[in-house]
Amino acid sequence: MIRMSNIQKRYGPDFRALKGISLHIRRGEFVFVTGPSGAGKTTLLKMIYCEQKADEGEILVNGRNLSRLRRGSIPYLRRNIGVVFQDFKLIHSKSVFDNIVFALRVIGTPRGDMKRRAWDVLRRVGLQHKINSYPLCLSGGEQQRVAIARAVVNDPAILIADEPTGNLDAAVADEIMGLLEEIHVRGTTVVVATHNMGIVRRMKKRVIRLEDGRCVSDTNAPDAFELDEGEITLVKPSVG
Amino acid sequence: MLVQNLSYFIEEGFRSLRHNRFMSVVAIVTIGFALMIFGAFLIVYSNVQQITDGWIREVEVTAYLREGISDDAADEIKKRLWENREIASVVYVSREQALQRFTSEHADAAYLLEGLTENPLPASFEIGLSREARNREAVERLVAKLGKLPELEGVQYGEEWTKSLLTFLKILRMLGFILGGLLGVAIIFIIANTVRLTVYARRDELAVMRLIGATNWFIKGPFLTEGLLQGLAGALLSVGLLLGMYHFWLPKLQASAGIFFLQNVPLSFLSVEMLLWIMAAGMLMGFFGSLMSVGRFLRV
Ligand SMILES: Nc1ncnc2c1ncn2[C@@H]1O[C@H](COP(=O)(O)OP(=O)(O)O)[C@@H](O)[C@H]1O
Ligand SMILES: [Mg+2]
Repeated sequence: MIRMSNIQKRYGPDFRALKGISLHIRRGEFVFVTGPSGAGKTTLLKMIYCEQKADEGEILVNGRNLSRLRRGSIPYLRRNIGVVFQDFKLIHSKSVFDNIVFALRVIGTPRGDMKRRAWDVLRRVGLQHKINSYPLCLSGGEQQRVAIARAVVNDPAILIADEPTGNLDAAVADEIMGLLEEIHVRGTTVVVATHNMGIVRRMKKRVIRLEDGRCVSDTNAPDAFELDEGEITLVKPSVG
Repeated sequence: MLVQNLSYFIEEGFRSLRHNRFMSVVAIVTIGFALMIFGAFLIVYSNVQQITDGWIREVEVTAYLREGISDDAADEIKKRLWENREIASVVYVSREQALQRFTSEHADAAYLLEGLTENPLPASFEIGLSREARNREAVERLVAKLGKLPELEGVQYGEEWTKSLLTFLKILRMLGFILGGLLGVAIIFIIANTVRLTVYARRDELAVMRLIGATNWFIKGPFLTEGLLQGLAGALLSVGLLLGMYHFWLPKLQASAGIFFLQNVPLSFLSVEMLLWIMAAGMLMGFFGSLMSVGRFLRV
């Protein structure tokens, strides 16, 4: 589903954010990308939906080679990738419901389907009672749910979430992770960047750990021991 | 889907006009006046053109024959003249016909011919111009050609008038191009500026749209319709202003002895076709103005 080989990314002439990342995420997987702040997690995710272009290396997403993707094709790639942004990126002048409808309109959903699908997805994330609220009137957890609803309303093949539990307290964070798990169970490939190790430990999923732009470990459902923060793991990064 | 998008674009276009009420009104009024100036110029031009068209159409070339050319020889020449593309009609006026015409048209001047034993009038050809020859260059070419025929003695046409009129028209047309160009640039600039404000105010939203899979055209759509609507509204305003000027102000102006040659000449308003062109121009300029503004914000 997502395959990176030797991805390099520079910001400016002498700052390298990613220093040769290779990984392979299969269809239907649930993967955490972890690592300390500044490790390059967000940059890695941005590569997948083409907000940033790699300087070197190759990325295949859903069979498409992103380095050869024409600019005009990027929107169509993105329609297959739902993204939950770290700062949500909701439109503050629109209500919750209109934010979802807008996302559907943007990608050319027939008018007759838009309202029904917006309803369905808002029910799925448990926000049916908040549809007329405006994003800034919602709690962090509720805004996160709207962001998730918008990301999945089009049934994308891939869901990307950047620090989805960032500013949330533990209980709400668990609810959000439950929601992502539900989406995963329906068959969506899910990639979550987080530095919240408590969550990672509880979820028992594949974990890719970045440090300073390098992939330092890639383990399947690791036990707690391997995931102690700051610990140098002995697990070798898998290639490809 | 196209229809759905279009109706969404138009809706959004109106919405942002309402949202930026003040700037939109300023832009529309400015565009209205700019197009009005151009429209007034078009009215003057098309009227002058109509008048000169009438005159040129009436231009008749008269070629006088040398003495001693028989009617048969004249017939030969007539046939040769016919072969010119510029010539639509040739009428032979013999010396006798010329005399008859003179005496009937100038009865009061009959004394001029009294006492003459011989008819002093030459025979001539009255040459009508074909449609494509009704311009100065063609007329002059033809006159030069006729001048070279040995059987002809002299060629006459309403030279001075047509010449200066046609030059005047040419200058007017050039002024029109310059004026139109300057006003066009100004209008595009005005629209680009107002649309830029809208784009700037909503740039975060645009970035989000881009990230959730909107195509560039979808993102640009509402702004393009906004510019288009501004251009159209400005054009409609200008037509209203022109109609007002035409009906209320021009009669007064004509009544006062102010303008020399337009006095008492019935001036016509712009044709429907011209009006449609003005609106199309307004919309087109609106479209390009906003296209200029919106492109720069779509880099994500
Ligand atoms: N647009 C950018 N321009 C310059 N530097 C950037 C940009 N985005 C990220 N960086 C830098 O790249 C590094 C990796 O950033 P990021 O991918 O956001 O890490 P993480 O998400 O793991 O915290 C950081 O040092 C950050 O300062
Ligand atoms: Mg980050």
